[in-house]
Amino acid sequence: MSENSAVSRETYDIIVVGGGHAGIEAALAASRLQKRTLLITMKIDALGRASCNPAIGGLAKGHLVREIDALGGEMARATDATGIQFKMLNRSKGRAVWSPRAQIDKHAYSAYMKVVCEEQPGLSLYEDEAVAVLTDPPETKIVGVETRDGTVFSCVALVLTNGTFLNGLIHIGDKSFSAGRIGESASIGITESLVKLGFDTGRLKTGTPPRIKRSSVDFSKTTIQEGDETPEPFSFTTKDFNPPNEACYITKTNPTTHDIIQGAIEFSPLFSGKIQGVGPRYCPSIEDKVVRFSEKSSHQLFLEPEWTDAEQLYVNGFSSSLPEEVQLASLRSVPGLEKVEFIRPGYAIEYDFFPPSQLKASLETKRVSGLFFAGQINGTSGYEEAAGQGLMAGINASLRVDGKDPFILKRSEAYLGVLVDDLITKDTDEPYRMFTSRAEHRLLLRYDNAHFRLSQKGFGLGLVSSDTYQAVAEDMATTEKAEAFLEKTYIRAVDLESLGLEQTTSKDSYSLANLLRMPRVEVEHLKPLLPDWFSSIKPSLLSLIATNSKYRGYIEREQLQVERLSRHQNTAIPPQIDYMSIQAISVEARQKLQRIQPETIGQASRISGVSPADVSVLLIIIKKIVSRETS
Amino acid sequence: MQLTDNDTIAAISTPPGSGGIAVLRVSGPDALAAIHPLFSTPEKLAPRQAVFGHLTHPDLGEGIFDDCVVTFFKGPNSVTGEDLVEISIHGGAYLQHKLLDVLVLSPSVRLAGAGEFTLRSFLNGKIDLSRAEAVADLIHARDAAAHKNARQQLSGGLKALVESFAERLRHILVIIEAELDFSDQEINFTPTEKLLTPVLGVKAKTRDLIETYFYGKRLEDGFRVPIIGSPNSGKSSLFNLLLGQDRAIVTNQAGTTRDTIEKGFIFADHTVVLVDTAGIREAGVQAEISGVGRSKDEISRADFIIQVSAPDTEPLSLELPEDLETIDVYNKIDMDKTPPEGYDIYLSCNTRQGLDELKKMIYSHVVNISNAGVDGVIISSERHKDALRRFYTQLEACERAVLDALGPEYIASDIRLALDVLGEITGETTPDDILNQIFAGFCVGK
Repeated sequence: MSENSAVSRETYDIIVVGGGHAGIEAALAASRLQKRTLLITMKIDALGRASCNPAIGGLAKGHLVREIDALGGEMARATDATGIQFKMLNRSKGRAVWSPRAQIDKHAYSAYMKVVCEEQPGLSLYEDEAVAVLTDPPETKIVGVETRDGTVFSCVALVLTNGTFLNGLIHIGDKSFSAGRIGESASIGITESLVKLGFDTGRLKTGTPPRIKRSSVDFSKTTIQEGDETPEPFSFTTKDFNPPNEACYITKTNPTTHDIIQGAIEFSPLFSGKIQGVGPRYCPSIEDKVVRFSEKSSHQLFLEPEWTDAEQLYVNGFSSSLPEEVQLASLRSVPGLEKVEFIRPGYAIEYDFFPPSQLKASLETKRVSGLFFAGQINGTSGYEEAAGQGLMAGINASLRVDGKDPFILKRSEAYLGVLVDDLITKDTDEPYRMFTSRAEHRLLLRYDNAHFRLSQKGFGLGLVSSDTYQAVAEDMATTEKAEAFLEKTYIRAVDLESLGLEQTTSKDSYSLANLLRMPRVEVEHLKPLLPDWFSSIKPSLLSLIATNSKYRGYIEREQLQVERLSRHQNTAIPPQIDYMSIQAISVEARQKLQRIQPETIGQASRISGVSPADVSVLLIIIKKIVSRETS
Repeated sequence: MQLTDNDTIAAISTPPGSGGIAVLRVSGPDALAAIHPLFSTPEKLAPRQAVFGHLTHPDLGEGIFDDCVVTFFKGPNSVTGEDLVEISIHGGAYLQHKLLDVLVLSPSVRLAGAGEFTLRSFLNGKIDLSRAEAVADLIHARDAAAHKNARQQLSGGLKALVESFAERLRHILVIIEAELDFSDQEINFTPTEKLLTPVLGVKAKTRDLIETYFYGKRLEDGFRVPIIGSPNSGKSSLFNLLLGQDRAIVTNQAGTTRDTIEKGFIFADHTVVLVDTAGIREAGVQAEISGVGRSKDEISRADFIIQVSAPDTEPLSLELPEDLETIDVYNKIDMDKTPPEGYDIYLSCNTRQGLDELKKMIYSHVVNISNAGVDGVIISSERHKDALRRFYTQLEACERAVLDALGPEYIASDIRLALDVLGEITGETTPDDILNQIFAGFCVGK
């Protein structure tokens, strides 16, 4: 560092680069854990800016937000405070896959986050562009970061959350220009300084749809979609929840729209080969949909307000990098949008990411100690995925500063555990998004029990207040008491009819818990049989109790599966094993292990191509190494 | 596939084939619980004490299955360092496999993988470190051998068949997962009830395939063909004649063959194991009683039998199972000028009259059995049968979930577990495989 001529300013415990969803959570967690923290962002006014859709949550993502809340993160509270429409998705299906989603007021959301950050004790903000990470020779330990204006900040731990900004390149038709997102500069320098340290880098692509003028839309030709009448907040701490319920509008593309797009396909940088980065298949551009699913004659479009009384609407489902005039012409063939006017066109953006197999489960890089990555820099997509990683990185950077063991969640404990574990053991070739199908313990990892699963951990870390934790603990006690009652109280089969339930002949009597396991039976049905104290249990908890009953058998089976897993799951693998020299492991496994260098047996076993036999051999090798070192 | 080593495993630990005594080992937390329902006096089991008793269980057939000596070793003072139960039984290959079969039926016990007992011994510090590499090589070698073996077994129709099961289930899972993960989008979802048809189809075929294990095993071990008949009907003579050598002791005194004698010979490309049995009658001496018991046991395991009668013997005083294929042989035709009607073969062991006809008939029986199978596929590996049986159980759970209208997330859980089990035969299905198919098949993304 001394060879750098720049002025050394201040020293921090933790520096976070980037003020997006990941950076905010990282910086807040670090400062709340009493670490002297600096957040460097290119634009303080853009803190927490939602670059793409004006919504938080959604399937599987809503689970992440609840978990972030249970661990003391900010995203849920910010959403509750600034949401303008709340909706529980998948309500027609089982509760394991219910997931909350909210339309947010983007301006309010960003302003909320700015205030929270500014008011957070121990957190300083600095507006500039980070251009280089600084390490101690021989380049294995982080010592600081340098900004565009030549300032050098030193730190013990550095969290990089650069989003889509690293060498960001925006494409609209055949035009392309350097930018981090529309109207903001790209970040140049960080990638290069990381590559110099030996990191692998890759290129990804994502896109966003056009923003249109509300006054140019004929809403009489659209379908109105409103939120839930009794909305549920994201955060456990939100009280007196009474958010607005602003409408979204649905319309549809048609063959004319598709013809216009098809006719101009050669001008799409996606199809002309101009874009090299891989885009997400779950969030395809409209031109992708038209080409790949040519048999579909229509696609739904959602017109979503970007803030309260917004003149600006987001055209969800019409992400595109076609030339502006093609976007406009095709959109004008859509009912209600005949006279639509753009505020700005959709665009695609390419950016650098760092394959996350270079990370430990703490999100610290294996190569440079004290350096953490979180968010889109790890090849993920989505505000929620970013925020979750930011929180975990902020926690782990703090524990790093304290010289403590990292905080790692298991796949059976949280979607956050699935997220991190997937990232570090899988090869990402498109932006990673959370889906409920990625969680093998889906029935256990529900949105409704996130606080039961995680609040104690959040409290233990020091991120969840004692009051909040006490309230969760009380809920848990109530649940336990209620479940015990339901378990030991029986009803005769002949009396089922009196409850309005169908009488079945398979058993003479049922415990109430057993009744709840039947589809469509809720605590409400059992009311005549319940003692008075049941009526004081809040509805959300009654629903949780019923859900626990419904999934019990399946959850127990999944639990058995967890327990049967190797007791060596958490056995540490010593660093720097030369896998290529282990003849007793298959060649494919050797190569993968050599590249990924897993930290634990559990991680090794989840790498594709590594068989149980390979893992057995690995266990033997480790035991040999360890005993050689101790003798 | 996940590595599991926290569960209970079982295997036959004596060398393969029939020996005097066979030892089965069960190791892991549920070792003791696993033997409880089978053993006559489980309460007597105490660490390091060999307890004599017998094995009975409905799944082991009627009555006493076998005598046994059970020894319990409490972890960590056992060879694997875990709770370990050793069961010594009589050495017949059939008995060993049948017992193992029933042990692994318990949900808490599974078939041990290659080198697993040794691995556990090592990890629990029971084997000297200097043997570490040897253990590693052993696991690798066994794994490679198992793989090679599995590949060979999978080279034909089995691979295609099991893969078709997996494919059909993956297809269902794709539909369900798409519905769960993309229900906010405009996709026409298949009603859950419609998913039942393919599940039932796979389930029926799986059941049939499990049943072929019996034949598959025969292809490997040989078709068992006991020669049954009243005392002195000439069973041993026929046995020797078919084998072309004097294997059995042949005398003209009734009741000479008190134990069973078996001998395999290659016949029409298949191994046929002829079993010479004791004559069946109300037995006199003690040794004969056990011999007769064994004969009955042989009948219960037979693929088909050769039943021998002769002019100078009593008719057989034994009821045979109705569905048992039987070749009725009237022996000593040279002694009887007016033989009764209704026999398949009229034979003389002395003049060899009828021998060719008998061989032809044996051949046609063997070929008949060999052609059994599901789409021409039969299984012969214990491991495959074990996996298919667990797969079947999982499909039953899935069926119940659909019938009880539990909802797609339950069905998905069942199908995932079913695919996990199938993965042991055909390679795993990952969440990414399912997502890939969703992205390929549905236009998702707002």
